[in-house]
Amino acid sequence: MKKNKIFIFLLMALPVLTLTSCLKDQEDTFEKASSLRMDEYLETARQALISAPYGWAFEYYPESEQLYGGYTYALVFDSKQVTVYSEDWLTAEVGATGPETSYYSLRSDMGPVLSFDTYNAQIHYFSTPSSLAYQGYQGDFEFVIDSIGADIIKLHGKRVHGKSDLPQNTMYLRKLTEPAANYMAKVNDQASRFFLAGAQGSVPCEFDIDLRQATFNVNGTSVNRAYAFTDHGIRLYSPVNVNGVNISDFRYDDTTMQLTSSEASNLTLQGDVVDDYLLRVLGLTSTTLALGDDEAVTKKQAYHHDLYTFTTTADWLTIATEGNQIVMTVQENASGHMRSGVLTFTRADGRSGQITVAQVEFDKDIAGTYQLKSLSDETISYPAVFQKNAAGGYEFLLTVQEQQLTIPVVYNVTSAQIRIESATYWGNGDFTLMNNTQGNFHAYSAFTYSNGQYWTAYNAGAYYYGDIEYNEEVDATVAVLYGKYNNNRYDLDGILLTGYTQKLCSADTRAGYIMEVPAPYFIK
Amino acid sequence: MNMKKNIFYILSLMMMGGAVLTSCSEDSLSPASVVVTDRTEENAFDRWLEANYVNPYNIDFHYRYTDAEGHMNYYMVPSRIEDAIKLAHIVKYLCLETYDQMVGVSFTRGYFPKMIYPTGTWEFKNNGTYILGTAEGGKKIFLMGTHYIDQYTKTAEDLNHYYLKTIHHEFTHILNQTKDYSPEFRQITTKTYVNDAWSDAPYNVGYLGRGYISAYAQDEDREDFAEMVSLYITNPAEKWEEWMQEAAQTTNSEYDNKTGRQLIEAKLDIVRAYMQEQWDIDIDKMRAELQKRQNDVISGKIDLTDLTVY
Repeated sequence: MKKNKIFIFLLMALPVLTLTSCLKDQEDTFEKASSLRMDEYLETARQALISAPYGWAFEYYPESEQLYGGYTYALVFDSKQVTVYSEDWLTAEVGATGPETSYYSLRSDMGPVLSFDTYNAQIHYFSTPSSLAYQGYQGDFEFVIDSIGADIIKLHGKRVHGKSDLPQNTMYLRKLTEPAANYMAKVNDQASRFFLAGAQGSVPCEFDIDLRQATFNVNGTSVNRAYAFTDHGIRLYSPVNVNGVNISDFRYDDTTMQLTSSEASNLTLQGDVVDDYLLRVLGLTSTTLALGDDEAVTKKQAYHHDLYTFTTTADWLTIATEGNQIVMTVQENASGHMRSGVLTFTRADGRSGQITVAQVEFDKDIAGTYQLKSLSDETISYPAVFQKNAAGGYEFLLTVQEQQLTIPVVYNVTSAQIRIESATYWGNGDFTLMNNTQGNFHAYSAFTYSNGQYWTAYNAGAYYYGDIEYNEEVDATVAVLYGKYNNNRYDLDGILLTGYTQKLCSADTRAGYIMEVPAPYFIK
Repeated sequence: MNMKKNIFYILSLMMMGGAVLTSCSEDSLSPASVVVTDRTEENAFDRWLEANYVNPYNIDFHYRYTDAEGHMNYYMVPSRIEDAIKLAHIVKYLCLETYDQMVGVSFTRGYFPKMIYPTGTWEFKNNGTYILGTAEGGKKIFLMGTHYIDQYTKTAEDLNHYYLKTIHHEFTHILNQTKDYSPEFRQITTKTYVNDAWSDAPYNVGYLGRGYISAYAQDEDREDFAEMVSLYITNPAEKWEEWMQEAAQTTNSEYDNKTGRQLIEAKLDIVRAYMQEQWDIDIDKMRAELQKRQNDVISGKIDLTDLTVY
């Protein structure tokens, strides 16, 4: 009986519930369906992108915590395509000589999305993976549009903000008021002058100019922000609150090395250049520079050379200044042998640095018969003749098990440095493999790392380097090989020459190892 | 009695509800569609694809990056449009049109996967290795590495290894799923399939002698079958004979001391019969045709960039 009552009450409730749905005056919250509103929004975005006559400046930050810093692009959209201007170094890095055009689309996805959906080496640079960096730089190329203003469009990366405890990786498109090429020329000019180690003032700051990070000391608290270059200085990824004022944009005056906040006009910071300033302006990545025997003059823009005095250990090696430039002159080497000198540059406060310049000729000083040996195993030794090949490149002719192989070598004339790559073809021949298999095999290079525990397998793009130097101790020309693997995480520690059943470097065709040389070096 | 009463109550209450419900349908259907497709302006390649993929085969050559079509645990980038154009020509000339010629366009239209999704790079794993391509349930072929297309279309070996073998291999799976092959195939080397261990020592070498055409063929019989077809039709007869001579040098005690060659050729007989009887494809003719077409591509006889629509 009780059960029945409950049933009846429930059923009586039913029409009451249905009745409430019959209000006549209910209105839609929105006039149009969500898909139509989305479509209109995308059309608004398209019109905004297209209608900017000079396009947009895009301060782009890869990686969810902006660890690699910010990079400035200029984007010019038409109804189908986008033309991408990038910073000079990036344009050169991807082998381009100017802007590159590709397609884009606006679509409804995780909200309104702007997608660069055909490849453009410049805009996809930070997103492109490789066997050495399997996530690239974790850069986005699809963006959710957050808001559209008259002169500014707010976006966030669609993919990379992914870690749920992190805020979205927000970026802005800012409407340009001059041609994109002009704007980028100013950005490049700023980037080419900005070599600050830090800046002093009421909010002292340190810079990491390689990763474009600024760390401010705000009343005793350390605050880090990535930054990107603008036409007049730098802009921070997001504002820093200094005594109630949000600061993010700085004008940079290179003649005084002063940074002035655009938001707080009384905030001016006095910058100072990095210690390796002169190496950087000379474009050197190491403190040694190898030149040929001919006379050579190197001229580079160096706005702050007047901070330094120079001394030299050789009369054939001099440095002078010419306006904003420094001029390094090396006279012809008629001595008949390799020679080197040291340039020392000193600041007023006594800080100093050095560059060793060598004059060396390939045919005379570098080419010839070497042995490929191991620092850890004296019994290993393979003859290797270093020479120029017919195609104008360089190679070692290596003899292994009486078979001749050819190691393709990239030889950097300016640093007397050799480079050998993994998964390159060294030739074929009859070998007994380390697993005792005999036969005719194709040899491809591979390298080991983590104490020989792992190998680079079938992946190209791992490099062994060697600086060819004259070693007085052993009275011989020597190149000890060194290199890193997987985003500089591992040191390479050996060559593992691998045999394949076909001329194809893959798991399917691998037969075994031909030769292993731990801690390799070449000695002449 | 009680029960009946209740039923009466219930029925009347339900009718009340029903009456109320039907009384408030004043809304008319809106004439405006809420279905909106994304608007992307057509370009010359889109028109070419319409004429060469959509109209004849109803295949979507999906060259615009769409993350949902890929694998979210890998970082990928789109194809350069110029590279996608070349790949579209290669797949059309070397796959679709070869099947058209061998069997007929309705066969290709009926069985070829309905989407080809090209992307720029390979799928790089965090250990430095990478994936060249995958196929999903006979519906989609995911072809990676269009960035390297100029580099890998210079020799037949590269062209096959990096792009085409994947397509023929996966297409063979689709054919097998539609019409199964004889169970005798599996019996030939049934004791020595090794599953995932195929890429490890000792299985990664000497597979020919053990009666498998590739290391991967040792995985299982379905892969063995697909490897047999794809390697047979994409390689020249001399290359196959070279493999057979190597295979002939080893005997297998598990299989009455038959040589690797005998085992592979026994499988090949079943493959040949299956393709002929079930699909009317003569694999020798197919191989000859593919050789001719591969040479056309490698020698540059086929213009891979022409977007003229006839």
